[in-house]
Formats: sequence, structure tokens, C-alpha cells
Amino acid sequence: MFRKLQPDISRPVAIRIDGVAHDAEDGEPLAAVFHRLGGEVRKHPLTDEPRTAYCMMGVCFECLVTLEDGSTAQACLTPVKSGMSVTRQAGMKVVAHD
Amino acid sequence: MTKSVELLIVGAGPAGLSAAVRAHELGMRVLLADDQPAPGGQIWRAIERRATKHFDAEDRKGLELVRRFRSLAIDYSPSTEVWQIEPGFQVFLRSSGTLSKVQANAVLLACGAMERPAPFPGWTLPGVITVGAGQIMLKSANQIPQEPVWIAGSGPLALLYATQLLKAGGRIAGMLDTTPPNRNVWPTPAAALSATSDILRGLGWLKTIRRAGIPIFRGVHDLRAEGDEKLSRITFVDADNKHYAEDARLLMIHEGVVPRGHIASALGSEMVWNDDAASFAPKIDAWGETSVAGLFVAGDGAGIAGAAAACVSGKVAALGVAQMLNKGRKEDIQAERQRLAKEWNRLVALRSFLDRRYRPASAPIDDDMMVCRCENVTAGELRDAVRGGAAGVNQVKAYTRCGMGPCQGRQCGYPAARIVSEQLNSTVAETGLFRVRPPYRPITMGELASIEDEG
Amino acid sequence: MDSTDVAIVGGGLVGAAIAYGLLLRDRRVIVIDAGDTDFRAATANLGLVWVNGKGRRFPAYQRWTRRSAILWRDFQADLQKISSVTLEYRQQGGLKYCLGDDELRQQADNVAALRTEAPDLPDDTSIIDRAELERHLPGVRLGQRVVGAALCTADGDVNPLRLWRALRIAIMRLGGSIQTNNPVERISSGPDGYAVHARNGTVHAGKVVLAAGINNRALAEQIGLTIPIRPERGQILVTERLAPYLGLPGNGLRQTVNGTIMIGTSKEKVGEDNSATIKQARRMAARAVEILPALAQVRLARQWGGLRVLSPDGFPIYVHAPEMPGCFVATCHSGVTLTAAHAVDLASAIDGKEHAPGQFSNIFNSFSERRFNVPQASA
Repeated sequence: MFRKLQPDISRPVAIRIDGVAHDAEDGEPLAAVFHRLGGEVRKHPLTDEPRTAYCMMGVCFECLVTLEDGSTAQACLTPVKSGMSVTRQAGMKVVAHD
Repeated sequence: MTKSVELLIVGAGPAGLSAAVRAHELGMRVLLADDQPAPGGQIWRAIERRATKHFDAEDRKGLELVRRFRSLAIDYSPSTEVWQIEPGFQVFLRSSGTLSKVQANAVLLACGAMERPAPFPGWTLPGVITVGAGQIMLKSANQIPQEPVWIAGSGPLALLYATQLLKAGGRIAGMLDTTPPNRNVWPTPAAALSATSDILRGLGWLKTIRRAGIPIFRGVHDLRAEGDEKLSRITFVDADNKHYAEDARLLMIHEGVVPRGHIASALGSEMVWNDDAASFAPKIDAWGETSVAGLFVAGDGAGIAGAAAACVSGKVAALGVAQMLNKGRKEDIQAERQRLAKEWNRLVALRSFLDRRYRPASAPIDDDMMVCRCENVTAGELRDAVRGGAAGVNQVKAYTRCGMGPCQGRQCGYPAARIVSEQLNSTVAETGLFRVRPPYRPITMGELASIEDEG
Repeated sequence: MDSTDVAIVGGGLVGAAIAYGLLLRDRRVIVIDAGDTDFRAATANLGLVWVNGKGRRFPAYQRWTRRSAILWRDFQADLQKISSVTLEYRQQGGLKYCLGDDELRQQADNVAALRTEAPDLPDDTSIIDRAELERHLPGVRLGQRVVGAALCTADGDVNPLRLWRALRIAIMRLGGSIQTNNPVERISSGPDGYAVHARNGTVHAGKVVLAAGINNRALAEQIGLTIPIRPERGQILVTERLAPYLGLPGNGLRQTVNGTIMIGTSKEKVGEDNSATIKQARRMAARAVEILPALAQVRLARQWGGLRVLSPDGFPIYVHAPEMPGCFVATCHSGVTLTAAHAVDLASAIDGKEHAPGQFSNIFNSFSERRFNVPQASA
């Protein structure tokens, strides 16, 4: 749905979303990557409807993703870093039963 | 050991940066905290990373201020969220999962503005975002829509983005102007005179869009976004009552901006309703101080007035804090404030006109329209709540859960206040917004438990 | 000018429950409620329907609480039907977690003492050890210091906001009315018995019930009563929504039907201040994480404070004003648990149909304000 102005990403780094590798630009907002991949960031926990990063500035809380350490972050406030690995959220958070 | 500063500034946009620089020049110990990874706020997003060849005069001013800020080595904490402030002030911060606390004599909130939440049927579909989101992606990720985008709304920012997008090689399917038709609002001659350059700029944007042959629809209402899992079509009606149904992959909306008053409200600042701007802002005096002693607000967070005015009000707030802390010579500070006040008046001359010209349409909101994105609460449920005895926004919240989700009422506050006040035969000014409580940003229970126990 | 059988000052859980009960007894009722941002204990509690550990040194209260718990099942079924609001009431038992042996001993002593004070009441609170607690909470990892709990099979929980909303909707559906944003200023005698003067007008009523929470103190003086109540702040933490995890409510820690976890274990004497503080947030979060370590990863969505309405011994005050027959005061902490008893027994006593007038005081003698030996205010 979105594309970079240059044909290539100028400082590409590899990141993973749900285990799948993607190229991204070092330092760009993570939510921007989702907008290049079709727009959907997560499924709403109550209705299972797809939601997107709507405001890109941290006030709508739609772009929630799960970081590698298990914490939740707003993708629009999370800068891309090489090697980062995030997973999409769907449904209610399950508390670890370990 | 808690860090101690004289002034803690929240927000590194035009107001926050200007205040930080001025306060530093006046010899104050300053800490500037901001949730973005780099300074610039929203209007100067990623300004240090962007190619300067595309910069306009405003961008260049922004880069200059950011560079000056950097050169002074003022204490700066990026990617940092302020999640609570207690009296005194004890400011609780969170940065990359690490918590810290700062003691500050004064706090300046320079949190800026956000898009006015404007629910309409289908607004939660992927493919529907704000114009602001488009601008942020252009600046911070150097990206534009792949397919022609529909831009709907009212206000100069929608026009500005359209011209920026065209300049970058993007395509626009159509502009849907939702400004109510026949708005006979004109600037006063004095305002027009002092803001000629702004007016010329605005007219220039319109010319660019027309010249590009983009269809412009006026008096648009009954906008609906439709699609299964993502946007595929929009329908709308224009001023002549002509109905349209158009293929769409991306729709950007913008119904003006409102001050971000979340933290000020949480701290008990008196909030006032500006009827022209149809929004609340903290009540401030001539120095930017709110009704809470030592709590200042500057920039768009005190009232929408744009970047240049934000820089001025940031400086004024720095002077206000200086005065509070007995820094600098009183006469010099008073004289400087008066000079800045004159500059302020010049910069905001067009404000009232713009506010009234682009005041959002009060289009009827159907019962089935979703108002609270987080908790999926419809307008009809809010109305039922009022009928069921919930006689204010906070009671409506208790009845319906509207405002209880992750955004804590940021997106649903204004629409809910409008619906509730209409149902009560009252006004939004009377009804007010949801009560704001900490944490201002979510933190984990483990992080909370790890705070030093001070007995 | 409004005229009714009973004017109820205060539309919180206590006032609404009494109104609902009176309407079911075919009385005409007007509830007079104050403003949107006023102190409302109704929206600042955990929603526990609780017997466990209550009523120490006050057997009448043990019995009263027990009575309410028994009434709850039918009460909530009827209320759901009349209001069309689901209450999310669950009654499967409740826990008081014990961290360390001292807490376990304290609970054991308390249970034993309560039994001694009211031996006729069911013996359904037991002290269980960690292993048995784990069996009651499958899939839940307990913190290292959790040694057991006091488990009461009569405990339960409800969605307190739905309860409040259901009562108010039911009041309207039963023909009562709720006057909102209408703070009461003065009560005087009137042609129908009494006149309740509120900001937006006067309500004439044969009977008046003061159920205005913390504001009862000032209002009660107008009917010649000294009600020695004080605010005690309780703060609450609520988390993000989670998949179902915690199957039983604990006192001060429970997972709601909508998935959020609510924590409320603080008591502060700070006057009429319902601010949220870091100090208590830290304390409550630390204890919650000690009990359930998995909560460390869970996000806090909001923190707020409410004011409990406490008499000097913490137990309810129910009074029929001796100098103003037909005027009553009802004030309590635990307005959620007592909702059923308020709707049934208290409403019936106020109505006075089943008992001779003046017998209210006999029924509720134990709960009179006179137990505090306060001097009577002059009328």
C-alpha cells in the first residue's frame, strides 16, 4: 500500500515479523514497514477484525505489536533496528503459564 | 539517586526545543524528554535524517533550531515516555523498559497537537489512516502511497500534504472537502494583512492541486469506507446531493487538529473550551503557566497556532519559569516577554479565521457508528447509556467501557463528549472530556513493582 | 414540583438498590443524584460479593453479610431480567492469599474467632495450603512466598459497573425516576411529609432515604443525626485485557469476565482526595506480582482512587431518624456485597409494610449510629 520513494531502501537492515524476514530501513518507524506490507498490523482482541497503524504518532494505540522480550509496543514509536524480531497480536494476551 | 532539574520539558517539537534553548541560555538546568527517537516533534519529524534538497523555508528553520539545540548539549532523553507526574514535581519516565524518576521545580508540557478524531462508518478498516500519518511516513520513512489516494477532510494540512505528495511523485484519486459549504467566514483586514504570506502559501497549494487535474469534491458528507478486511471502496455525497461510489485502496482523513491535553488534564489543570477551534486547552496566563503552580504549557498543546507561534510560546514559557525561579533580571525578562507577545500576535492573526473557516461539520452520527475503537462501543450505546441514567461522560464510560481501552479516551473523547452532550441537551464545553488518570503511558506491573520504595 | 412516596438522595449502589427494592414493592420512588465527577464509590470498587473474613467483633454484620450473599443469586437473576443487563455474577468461592506463615496464621485466627462469635453460621471458610490452592487455580503459577489461602465457598464477584447500570435502568423500567446532576442542598418538612430541596427543584416525599455516601454526614445533620463517617481512600489498578487465567477472585485481586485484572489493596486516610499515587501503585503491583509472578509482563492500563465510606468500626449505619419519622440514613462500606440485602431487607424495612412503623430501629438496632455514643445533634 505504501512504497519507498527511492527504489531501494538506503540503509537496509533485516528484521523479522512473525518469523518472516523483511528488509527495512534502519531507524524508520516499525509501523511504516507494516504499511508497505499491506497495512494490517494486528487483529483486534475483541472482534478479530484487522486493524492498521492509524495515526502514526502514538495516540491511537492500534499498532500494538509484541517485541522479542514479550512486551507490547506501539510500532509507530519503535524505530527499526537490525535483527529485531516482532510478532503480530491477535486475540487477548495469554499470560505465560510456565 | 534521583536526578534533579529546574525545568523538565515534555516534547521536542518547536515549542519544547525553543523553550529548552532559551531556558539553557538563562542558566537553568533543563531536561528535555520526548517519545520520538529524534528531535523535531511531528512537524519536523526526522528532520536530521531527511535530504535537505527538498526542504522549504519552514524545514530549514526547524533544522537550524534542532542543530542549535544539539550544539548546546542540553540534557535530552529521546524515546522516553512520561507516564506519571506527582506534585513536587516527581516525574516518572520510561525509556527502553528502564524506569527513572526526575525531580523538577517546573514542568513544561510541549506535547503538541493531534488529529481531531473524526469517526465515520468504516474508519477502522486497514486502508484508512489520517493525513498526519501520511505526512509522518513521508518524513520519517520516505514513503508514499503506491496507488492513488483519496484525501478527505477540512483544513490546510490536507492541502499541504496533497501538494507534498504530488511533489514527491504520488498520485491523488480525489480531494473530498468536507468543509460545510457556504461558510461565509472571512479574515479581518488586519489579520489578512499581517498574515499575507500564509494566505499566499495556502492559495498556492490550491493552485497546485487544481493544475494537477485532481478531482475536487466540495461539501462532502456521508462518507463511508467499505471493504472486507481492508478498504476497497468509498461512498460519499457532495454539496449538490450527488452520490458517488469509488474504488479506493487508501483513504486519508483530516478534520483539523486539537491540542494534546492528556497530561495537563491528569494533573488537574483547568481546561477551557475554545468555541472557534472546537477544542479544549489548558487555561494559561501570559507566561504559559496553568492553574497548577509550576506547570506550564506551550506550543499547539496550549492552542493550535502552528510551528512559528509554538517557538514563541516556548520561549515565553522559559521566561515564565526563569521568573518563577528568580533567574535573570526581572526587567529584561518582562521586556523580552512583551517583544515576544507582539510577535505572537502577528503570527496568530489568522487563527480565528482559520478556526472558524475549517470548523468541523457537525454531521449527524448514526447509532451504529463505532466511536470507541479500542472497546468497540457505538454511538447508539452511548446514547442508550444517557437514556439509562448516565448523565455525564464519566458515567457513560462506566456504563459502556468507552474510553477504558489502551488509548484511554484519546480517540473517543471528543466524539463521545459531542454525542453525550447532544443527548443531554447540553454543550461539549459543559460536558467536558473523560477524566484522565495515570499511567499516561502503559507500563508493566513488573516495572511498577520495581520502583524504589520510599516507605 | 415533584411528589413521590420515597425520595432517595444518592444514586450509587446503596441508593439504587434501595430504590429498586422499593419499586418492586410498588412504591413510587425518585432518586436524586449529583454530578458526573463527584465521588462515587459505585465506580471505584473491585466488585467482590464477599463473606470471607468479615464481621470480626460484630456478629450482626457477619449475619447481615451472609444474608446478602444468600439473597444474591435470586436478586441478580431478577435484576438481569428486568434490566436486560448481564451482570457477570459468579459464585464459586473466593480466596485471601497468604504470603508467608504469619499471614496464614492471621487468617486462621480470624476464621476461628469469627466462628466463635457466630457459631450458628455455616462453616465454609477453610485455611488451605499451597498444594490445595494450586488445585483450585489450575494453570496458575504462584509466587514462592504464597503458602496458602483462606478459601470461602460462599464468596463470589460481579461486574460492579454493570450492577450499577442495571439497577439504574431497572429503576426506570419499574416506573421510578432518576434526577441527575441535581445535588441536594437542604431537607425540610413539607406538605407530603418532607421536602428535599435540590439545585434544580424540590421533591416532595412521604419518606426520605439518605444514601449519599460520603455526603451523608452533612445531610444527616439536617435531620437531626450525627453520622460519624470518614472517607478512606482505596486505590485500584486495572490491567490490559487478558485471556481467562485466574479462575477465582481474591480479595484485592481478581480477573474480570472481560479479561482485565483488578487490584485493590490499599487503605489511606487522606480526606476527600481520590488521586492515584505512585506509592500505592508500587505497593499493590509488588504484592500482586509476588502472588502471581506472570503479572510482571502485564500492562497497567489505569489507576484510580475511590473513597470508602467508613464508620468508626467500619460497619454499616442504618438509622431511622427519631426526630423525623420517615427519614432514614443508609451508609456502608461493601456496597456491592450488601446490594441484595439492601434491595430486599432494607427496602422492606424502610417500606414498613411487613413490620409496624418504628420497628425499623428494632431490626437494625445493631447498626444504629448510637453505638458510637455520639451526642445527638439538636434538631
